[in-house]
Amino acid sequence: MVIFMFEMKNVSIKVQDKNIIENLNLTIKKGEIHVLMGPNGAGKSTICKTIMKHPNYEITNGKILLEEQDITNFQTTELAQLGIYYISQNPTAIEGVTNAEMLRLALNAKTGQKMGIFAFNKKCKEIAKKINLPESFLHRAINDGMSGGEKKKNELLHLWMLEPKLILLDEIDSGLDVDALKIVASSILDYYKENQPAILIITHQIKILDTLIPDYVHILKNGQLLKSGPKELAQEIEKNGFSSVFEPMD
Amino acid sequence: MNKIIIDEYEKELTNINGCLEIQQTPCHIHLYGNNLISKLLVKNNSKLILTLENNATLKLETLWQNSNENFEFILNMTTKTNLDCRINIETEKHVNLNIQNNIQSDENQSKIRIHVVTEKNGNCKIAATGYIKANTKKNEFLEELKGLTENENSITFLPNLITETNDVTAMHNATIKGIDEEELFYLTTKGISESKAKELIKNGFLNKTDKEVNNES
Repeated sequence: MVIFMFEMKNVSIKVQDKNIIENLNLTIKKGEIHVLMGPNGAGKSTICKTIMKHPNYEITNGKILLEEQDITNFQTTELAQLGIYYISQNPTAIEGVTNAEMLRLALNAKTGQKMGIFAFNKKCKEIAKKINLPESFLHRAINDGMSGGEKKKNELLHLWMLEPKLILLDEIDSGLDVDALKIVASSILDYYKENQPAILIITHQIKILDTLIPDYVHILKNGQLLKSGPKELAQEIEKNGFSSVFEPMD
Repeated sequence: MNKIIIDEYEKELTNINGCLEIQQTPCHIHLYGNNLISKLLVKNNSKLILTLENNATLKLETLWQNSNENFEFILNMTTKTNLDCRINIETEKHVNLNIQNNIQSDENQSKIRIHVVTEKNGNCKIAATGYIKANTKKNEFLEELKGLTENENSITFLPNLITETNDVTAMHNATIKGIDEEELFYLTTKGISESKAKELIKNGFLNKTDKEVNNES
């Protein structure tokens, strides 16, 4: 029997009494990269936020599984500790709370053990070097006063430290210049090669898919998955637009 | 940390660095040179006057936790002085702070930031007045009052700016907010419990977090 990494089974989602997603089915195996594309307002970000149990999003039907465990009713903290990691298109800034302080708390909560300060600092510095982030960022307030590119790199620092097994990237490429995108995508690829997580990428640009080559591309419109296919589907959309692929799946 | 204890009604100090504890009220301190006060301890129902004499600088950063229920704090600035004052207040009690910054002459720079977190039944009233005297020139004044609370009625700010001259750059602002839902969500997506996340947000607001990490290291 195949153990799936992550499954959404007939999931319907409501936001403020409005149905956004209807009966969504999605399965991502360990080590697979899936891409979710669709026009603005299709419900792509809704899916990520719902998986992470954002308080504004409500699952009205269906269930979500991680490694066969039903996580539909889990709280955000539990989901993160199970190894789900989410990067939003505009990561939240928090005044006065440093990366180091947050990461130590998060790691301690995840492992149930208090990580020594020297081991923690050593790991942070190694990762900062790997992702080309100045060490000073460790003691900067989370995403506060950072540029778009710096915020995304900062989130990668968290990703490498927390070592997730399912990564949700909600338009991580938005607001990044060519060089920053290359660094961010390469870093995620390095993490992927080392750890073989499952990855769900939401994007409007196919540039990031040159580095993070997807196994499947899904097209979402009006809250429903209309089509799934290989990586060439993303190229077709880039070339001909969404209208060329909007034919309901069998 | 150096600790300087003042038990006189009037005192002149030069280039101080460390914790300042005031045991008299009222107390008037004249500061000269470059000064760093990393903790200010005062008694309840007290009044402190700090005067920055010509060319003096003062960086003051202090955290008051459940203390100073009634405190009157006067900061006088003479000529070419520089004040960078950050007061963090965390309280479960009633706090009443009256702070007044008097700019008496020319070319001073003043920055006063007060951050307040109230918890449980705590409440805080802060009257903050900036007064820039007539016929003074080239002064800069910034006052920022920020409150964070889970009980929206527990913080009252009374910002007051009086300028008797046009030759001044003066700004003041006051905001009171609750714990931001997006900040809370963000921290929980990292695997931090909601209660710890709230604590982290409050500590960050009071500029406490990094110090604790650095102290431990």
